[in-house]
Amino acid sequence: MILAIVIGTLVATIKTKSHKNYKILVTRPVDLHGNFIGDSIIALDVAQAGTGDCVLVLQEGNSIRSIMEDEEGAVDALIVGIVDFIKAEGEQRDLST
Amino acid sequence: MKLGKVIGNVVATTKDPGLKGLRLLVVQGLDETHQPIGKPYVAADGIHTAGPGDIVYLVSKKEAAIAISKDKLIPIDECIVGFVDEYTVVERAKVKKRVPKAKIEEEIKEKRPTSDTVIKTKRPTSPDMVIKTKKPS
Repeated sequence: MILAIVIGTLVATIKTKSHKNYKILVTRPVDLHGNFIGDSIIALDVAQAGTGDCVLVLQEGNSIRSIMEDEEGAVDALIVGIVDFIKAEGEQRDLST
Repeated sequence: MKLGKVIGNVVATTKDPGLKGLRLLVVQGLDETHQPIGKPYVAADGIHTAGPGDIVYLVSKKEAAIAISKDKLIPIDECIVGFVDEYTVVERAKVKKRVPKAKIEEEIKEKRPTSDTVIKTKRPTSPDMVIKTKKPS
């Protein structure tokens, strides 16, 4: 799992069967200080996250298929949690914006 | 998943039997502001409707093969799984930070004068500020 911040939303009407009834969000990975690192990731959402939230993004296909209870799920990124705060390097941080 | 733009298609007659009947498209990866990133690559079309000029999103690695067929192993590593209708990205500075309730209460306490501090107001001393009243004649 990686830490990321939700930076936007994506709407698609024509999509593969396994993506139906899921919200699609655009996320960008962050480091422990809240700085953006790497390219943005499009992820499905099961945690009811919104724009600006710091979230946990799961990128393991088999784990995602078991969470979605769909053997044919073609998903390689899934938001599985919303981060309240991070305690690291001796201080508590809230990365949500 | 990642964002991409279809820029062309690929025709191949001699290919692996698993690729039979699949449409192969050339896709250029895009970043969150729709600027091209990296080199173009070939992806299979999982929604059967994508064509050159379309903005789509793709899955990679094994999930790409699963998007086409669950049981058959298909030799692809990128697959188009959705057609993007609307794409909204918010600048980070424009997103309002949610302040926890305890912090707001602390700030209010700091601003409020405590009982020890006495607020002194100055009386007008300069002659300009003295208001003269006329006696009734």
